[in-house]
Amino acid sequence: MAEDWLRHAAISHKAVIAPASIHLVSGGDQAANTVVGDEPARLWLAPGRALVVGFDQAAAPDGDFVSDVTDGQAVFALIDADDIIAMATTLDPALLAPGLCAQTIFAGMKVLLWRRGDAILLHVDRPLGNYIAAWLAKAGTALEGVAEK
Amino acid sequence: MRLALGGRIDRAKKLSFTWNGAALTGFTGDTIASALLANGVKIVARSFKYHRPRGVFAAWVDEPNAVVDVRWGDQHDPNARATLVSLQDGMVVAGVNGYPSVAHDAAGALDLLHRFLPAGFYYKTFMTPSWHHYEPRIRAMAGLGRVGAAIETRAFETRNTRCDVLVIGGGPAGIAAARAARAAGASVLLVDDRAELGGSLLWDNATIDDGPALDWVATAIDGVRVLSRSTVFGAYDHGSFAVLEDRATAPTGWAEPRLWVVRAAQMVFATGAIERPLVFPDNDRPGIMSANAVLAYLRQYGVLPGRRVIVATNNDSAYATAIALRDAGAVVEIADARPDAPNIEGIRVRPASVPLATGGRGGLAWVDLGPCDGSRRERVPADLLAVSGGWSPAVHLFSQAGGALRWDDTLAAFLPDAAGRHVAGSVTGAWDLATCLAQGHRAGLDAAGRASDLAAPHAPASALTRPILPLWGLDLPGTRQWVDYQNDVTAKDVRLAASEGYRSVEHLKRYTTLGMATDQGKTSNVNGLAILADATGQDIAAVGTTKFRPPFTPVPLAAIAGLRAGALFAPLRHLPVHDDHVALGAEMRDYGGWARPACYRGIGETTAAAIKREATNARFRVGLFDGSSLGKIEVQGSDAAAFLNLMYYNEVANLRPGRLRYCLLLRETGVVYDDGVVARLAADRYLLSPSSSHTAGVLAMLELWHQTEYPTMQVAFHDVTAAWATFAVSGPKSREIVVALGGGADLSEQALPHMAMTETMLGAVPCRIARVSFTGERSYEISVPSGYAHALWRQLLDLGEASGIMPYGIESLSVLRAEKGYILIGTDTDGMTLPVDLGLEGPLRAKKIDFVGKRSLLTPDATRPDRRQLVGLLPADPAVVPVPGTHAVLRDGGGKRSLGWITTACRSPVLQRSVALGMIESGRARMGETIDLFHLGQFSRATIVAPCFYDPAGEKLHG
Amino acid sequence: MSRTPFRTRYSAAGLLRQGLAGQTGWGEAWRAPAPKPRYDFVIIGGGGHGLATAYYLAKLHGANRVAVLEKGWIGGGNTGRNTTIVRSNYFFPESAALYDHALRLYEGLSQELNYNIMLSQRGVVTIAHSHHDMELMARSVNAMLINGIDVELLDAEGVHREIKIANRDPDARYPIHGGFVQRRGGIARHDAVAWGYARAADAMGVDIIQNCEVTGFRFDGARVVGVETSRGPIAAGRIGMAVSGHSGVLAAKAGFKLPIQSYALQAMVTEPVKPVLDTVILSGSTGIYCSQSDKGEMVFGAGLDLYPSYAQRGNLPVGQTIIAALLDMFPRFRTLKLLRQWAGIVDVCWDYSPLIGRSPVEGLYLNCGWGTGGFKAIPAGGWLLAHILATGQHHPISAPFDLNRFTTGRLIDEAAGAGIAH
Repeated sequence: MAEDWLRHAAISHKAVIAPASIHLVSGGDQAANTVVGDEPARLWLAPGRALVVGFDQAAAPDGDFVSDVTDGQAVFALIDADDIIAMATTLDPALLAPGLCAQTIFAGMKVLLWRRGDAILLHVDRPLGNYIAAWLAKAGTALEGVAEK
Repeated sequence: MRLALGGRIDRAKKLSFTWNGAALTGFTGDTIASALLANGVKIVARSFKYHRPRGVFAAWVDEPNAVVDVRWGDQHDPNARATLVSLQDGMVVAGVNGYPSVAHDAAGALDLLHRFLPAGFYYKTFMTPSWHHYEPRIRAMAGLGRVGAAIETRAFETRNTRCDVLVIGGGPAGIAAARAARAAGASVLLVDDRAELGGSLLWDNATIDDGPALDWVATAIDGVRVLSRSTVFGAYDHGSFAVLEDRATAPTGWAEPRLWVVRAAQMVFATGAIERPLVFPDNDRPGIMSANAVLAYLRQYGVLPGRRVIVATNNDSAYATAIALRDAGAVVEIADARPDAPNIEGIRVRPASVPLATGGRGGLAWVDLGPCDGSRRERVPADLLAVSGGWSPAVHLFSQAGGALRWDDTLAAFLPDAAGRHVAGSVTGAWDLATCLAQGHRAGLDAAGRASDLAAPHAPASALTRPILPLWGLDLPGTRQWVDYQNDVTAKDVRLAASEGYRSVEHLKRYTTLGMATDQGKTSNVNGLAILADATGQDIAAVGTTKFRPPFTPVPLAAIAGLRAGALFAPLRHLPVHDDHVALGAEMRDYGGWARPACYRGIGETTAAAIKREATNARFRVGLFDGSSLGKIEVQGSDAAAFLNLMYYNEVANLRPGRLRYCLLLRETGVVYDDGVVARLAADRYLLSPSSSHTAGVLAMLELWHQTEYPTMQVAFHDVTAAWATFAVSGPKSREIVVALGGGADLSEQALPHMAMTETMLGAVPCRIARVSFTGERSYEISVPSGYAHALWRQLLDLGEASGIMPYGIESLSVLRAEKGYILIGTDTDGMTLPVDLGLEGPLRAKKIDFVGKRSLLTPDATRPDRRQLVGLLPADPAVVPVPGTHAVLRDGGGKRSLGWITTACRSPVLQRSVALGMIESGRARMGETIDLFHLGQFSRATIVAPCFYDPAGEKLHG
Repeated sequence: MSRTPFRTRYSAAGLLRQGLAGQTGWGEAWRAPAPKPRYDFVIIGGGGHGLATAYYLAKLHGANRVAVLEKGWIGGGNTGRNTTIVRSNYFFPESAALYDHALRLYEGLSQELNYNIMLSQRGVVTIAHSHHDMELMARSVNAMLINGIDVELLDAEGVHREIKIANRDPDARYPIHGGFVQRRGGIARHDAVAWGYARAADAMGVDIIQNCEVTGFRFDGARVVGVETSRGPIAAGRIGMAVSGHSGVLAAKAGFKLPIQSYALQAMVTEPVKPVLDTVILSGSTGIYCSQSDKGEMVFGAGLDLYPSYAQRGNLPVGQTIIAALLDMFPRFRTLKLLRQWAGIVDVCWDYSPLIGRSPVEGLYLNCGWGTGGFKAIPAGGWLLAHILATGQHHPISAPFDLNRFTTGRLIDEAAGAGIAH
């Protein structure tokens, strides 16, 4: 029964990770394009709106509007991704320093990018996971001698 | 011929290639053009209109003639510019647009008729009986190369990058600018279109800072990021530039061109200048070349294009070519149009002398020289005529980026009017090296915006300093003097156009096609407009240039499209259990950008049979449908109810928590934009379900109205569509399956009636269960987080097996909802449909407050009685299902008028006959009427009935 | 309708004669007169619509004091920038009547203007990429057949027979399911349409005044009685405006607003190749429209740059989308090169249908809002504006397109009518 149910990530792909929780939060405020905290990490999306990764319900201020979107995103962890970022976006990779996040267009899709450790995390709407995976594969072959990341 | 020594080619690496089937050789470092010249090939192409023989004229992007077909491995370029393509071993090169060959082209006979075929002649004839009569033959003669049969599938890369200072052009000025900007601390990107940096330094034998210029180049670019073999072809808004990197000389021998998009804070235009031809009679003969190109062929490629050479010029620059030719062993004479002539050792210089005619079969053999008025002439044998009519600064990119130009009479050139932009080198009209270096250095520092101690590079002052004598053709009636070589436009054509009233430079271009060939007028534009100025009695400055637009040179389409090809052209969204559907044999189709099952075909089952089976089963037993793509927008806030009431057509503020309502969202025109179920979860919390293809649009609409019109209302919107998977269990046996699912929900009729929902847990998994039906049967929509979708899907199939559960797809659902008269947005509605057309007038009368679109529902057109209205139709022949799109018509004598159309049609499993829905004029007033139907010329009949064929009272929803 | 008194008639015989005479006897295609102080009719805008209006005023209504004022050079706006497609395969009867009126005028135009506009009725194929597309297409095709437009529904094989180089891959992102063809549709030489109308209008005494920008309007009370221009003031009996993308700018000078937005619409041309595409194609899903010019170049475009602009440029991201769409339809074009790219300024009306008729200002009449579809309508736009200028009344064909439809709500939404996502 439900107790035995497995939880699947968006897509079976070696770069995909499955954060324990992701929430959309409306309420509160922070400087644009910043990441506040680490676990949970609060990523700025818009004035008064953030994506919180590793959310702690108890820590949510009263009055905030919280929606669980953990299963709604495909999250790719890209290592040594400067080339891929340069191919897919117009973003200056320097803007992905620790503590910063960016919403941008990646291969034509709306994504959220931020740095965690030595990876760039890419959040995209779950149904587009397959498209991003196919794009990464094709981009990998376009890069001379660089294998799929 | 190839010289024994010299050139920057690698003589150790010989290459083999073919030209029109003949085996030839060249060296690594050659272009196709230099290799052809080295092999003595004179005729490489034919001109577009008269099919006159054409030889190589220039050495780089300005080449107007040498367009060839190139194949190498599986690469194919039907319209390659021979001066730009690096020679590779095994290349197969062929002429284009010449039959049987470019050397002997039968169509060359057209040239005999040239006096009847001036520019624009086709506007004056070919009208009788009509253009169609002549077009096929003219089309067959037009065009250069042929599109190949193979489909090339290589992945073309795009890269984005940025820099503080973009330096366009890697000649002396550009390199000086990059060097200075770098020293001043800026991040610099230097882009140059050649394989080696240096531009004119590659053949000038120049000295910089008291040493060989190329040595200076090597140190100057230290720390500068360089893109070689890269052409900046477009300047766009906000400092954005498009660059095509040609990687044909990559270590692997070939790599696909790469598109760079550069965002620059500042830029330096060091784009150089292009040499103009002289305009004189018979100036298009193979063997006539740009003087500077001849120098480049000598020094760059070790090729001597002729042994008896005349250099004809009106300015100083061609003298360097003459001297280099002499030193290479050619016999050289100079014809200088200017009255005074310097003494040059070993070269006869004729002052006040221009070419008056040329001759030779299959290539140049002689040139008549004399004064401009043609009063005397001397015939001089020659196999190469190197011409220079002056230099046109390459202002294309500067102009694309918004820069203005001004004509300089002394230099006879259009110069960039800098006005705050950074320009350096020969693009500013500076022809001598010392000035170019100084300008580059200054521009680099200015662009970097900071100072530096770095000293500017220096070079000796140039020796020759006589001004140019502008010469725009000769006044010799009865001669043919060519301006645009590829499109066969002569000076006389320009004057003819002017005399006919085509006096604007843009009219000239379009009427004569001057500048519209594949070389984009690089060698012809200025000559053409100068002749136009003379013909119309205007100053050249007043005539101006045509507008400069991207691309600077032709760019492969595949490089611009990049990776966005094939399956990656547009995304196809996947459902959480996409793989399950595929495993079950689903026929997946693109519905609004989502891959969804149309139906699930068994082995050997047709689509139609599958649809019938699934629909029947869901109607009489129980079916399982994946509705996960339906939108889910959570709305929360103390003003949520009030705000949604402003947005929706229906009243939503009085919904009780746990209840649902079917609602319409209108545009400001009153048109139905979307429909869906609105659920109230709590006093301040709603869940909206827009249709799959409109979720983004609905969200945008809510945000737009909130942010711009009602910003003080406390409400926010979260799109959680992808976070939840939703499966509908639908049919008379649905309840027992949902009960078997477990969880703590009270599923009694009292606790969960139709149009109600509850939130519960299945083990640790949150779950929402809603009584919503799109089939007309008792239905439960069960939602869990998408990660558990597969588990739930499998569980439902298992639990339902005993009841005969079958998955059903969209086409099957469409049959069931058609029987009930439930509409599909975009199928039964279009951009004209108002709520009243659907029979949903209630809210307009009942809702007192304003809402989006209300005003438009009160216009004369919205309230007229003869609007198209949703009705049901029963075709006269119950076995025939009409094609959706069939019109209802009023037949009136011989004519007919459309009354509307069928929007949905299928065979009803319940009624066992065809049924249809449609939008018919005054439909509700026509109940019981039989009308005519029309489809592709065929007529049939149908009766208008209420738009619901099954259980109009809706008892089955509760059954 | 009188015979147009051309100074020199164009013909093959004429070319022969002139060929022997060194091409010296053709004379001007149109004069360059100085503006007179007053005209009965002033047309603002020297593009196809404006020139056609002046021609029909002179030709059909006997007007002999007519001026066309063009701020630049004639045909330099959208008329010289479009992708040259002509067709009348529209959904609503009002639109079918309008565009087919234009197409029928086009069919006789070369003869009438004695100027070869190179009308090539090679067929326009609109492609369906899904089952749903095919259903919506059947609705459109039936509407057109009922309205008397020559169209034919095609299945996938039928489309591939018309367009041999289209993408045959059934696994393509947007595979071809079928389509429909209007055989009388095709292409025409856009510059020639402007020049042909200009020459004929000029021959009948119309003053075509280039490099003359209207800088303002002169009023007598509420009625407009003339214009201020860069070449002096000109009094006018009635004024028609046909300035496409700049309609909003000109309307502001007269003190009113229009329900239109001006966007950049890019167009592109490849290098010329031998004939390989014999019809015009339109594809809804990819957005692309394409034809091969008689010179051999592929001429194509797709969607708008979706920000209001007068820059006639467009930007790279949309350009990339357009090219990707072309290559999705025609993978064999991947080896071709882009030769030229430009943009026009399209005045898009709220319901994607034009505005013809009175403006809110007395004495000033509109012909605008053609959006991306103005070239195919030039003869009808001119014919209808001439009619309303000369008679003061709508012709039945133009009446539905009056500005008042935004008050009555009787919009003619062609995009909606065809079922395109609204």
